Amino acid sequence: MTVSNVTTIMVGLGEVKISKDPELVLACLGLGSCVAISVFDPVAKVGGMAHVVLPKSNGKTGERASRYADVAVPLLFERLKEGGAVESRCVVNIAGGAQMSVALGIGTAFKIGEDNIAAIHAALKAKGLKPKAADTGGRKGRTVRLFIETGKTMVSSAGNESREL
Amino acid sequence: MVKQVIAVEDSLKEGARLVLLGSQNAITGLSQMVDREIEMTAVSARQIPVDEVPDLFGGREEVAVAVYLAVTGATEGHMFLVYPPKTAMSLVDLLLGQEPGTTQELTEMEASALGEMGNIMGSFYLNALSDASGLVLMPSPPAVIMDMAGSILDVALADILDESDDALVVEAVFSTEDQQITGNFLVLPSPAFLRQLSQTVAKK
Repeated sequence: MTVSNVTTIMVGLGEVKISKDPELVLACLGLGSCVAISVFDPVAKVGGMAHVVLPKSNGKTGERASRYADVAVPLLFERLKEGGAVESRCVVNIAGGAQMSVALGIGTAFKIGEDNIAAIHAALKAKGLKPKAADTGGRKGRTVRLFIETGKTMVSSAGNESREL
Repeated sequence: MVKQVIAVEDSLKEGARLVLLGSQNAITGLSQMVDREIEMTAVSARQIPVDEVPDLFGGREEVAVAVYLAVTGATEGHMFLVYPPKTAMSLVDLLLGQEPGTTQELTEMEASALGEMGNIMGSFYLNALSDASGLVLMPSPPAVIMDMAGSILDVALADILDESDDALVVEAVFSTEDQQITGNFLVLPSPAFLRQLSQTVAKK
């Protein structure tokens, strides 16, 4: 990967961010059960990322509600549209949702990752959208980056080279 | 006298005090397990924004070794022992009674030693909480994970974020008298669990 003048903007737990600046990279670092939704409109050249923590808001509203998949997905597209994106042109990628803590007897108790992925798919389906690529599940943590200059979404795990989604 | 800091809002104080007591007992458990004097040098309970918890381990992407135990019984929760890989290897030397520096990698055997340590410390921690509150609290079998700190902690942070923006972080720092090892025992009790603890103790 060539190193250029890019600045990385962290998308923290429950945050939704968009950018049109080609020198910016949006990033979710060290995702376990959390899921990153990375969206890019190649025509308007605007990209956005949401860092989903939990599946369902159960009616919660306000700024904090973007930590839930069912609020984060519509909010992300709303922000992208404000930035000039057209939903039907958007390329959607998702990554994360691992099940980190697998031990005897607790295997099924904590499946937040799985629930997050299902909730994101449902929220996208409600918009008639499907992810182009999904790197989800498993037992390894992930870091996800969206390069606004190219629209590429890159995923890496501890000790591994990053790969394009 | 061990330096003790409690910096939490009033409604959580009673719960935090119990959690500190439990952490102290966890270190007693470790000391008995390795049959060596292990001193607790500091213990603190404080509230920090959830997003900042992984910074305690060098940031979300920093690789760490964790022993994870789920708490079941009267409540559901999470317990972690999180160490930089180097510290985890020193701990293995301590646990297996080896010369410091012997362990150079973490294979099945080393992971199982760390798991056993988590088991003992977790049981001692929960026993202290059970004794003080009368709540039935049981640890799951341990899982040993080596990965990025952020991804290790996500499940616990997600639970906390469902009800609060802040996490209560309880850290007990311990070391052997010859400083062969220093480490910390960290617990992230959920706000719901702390309330439950405080209420049960208040009723007694």
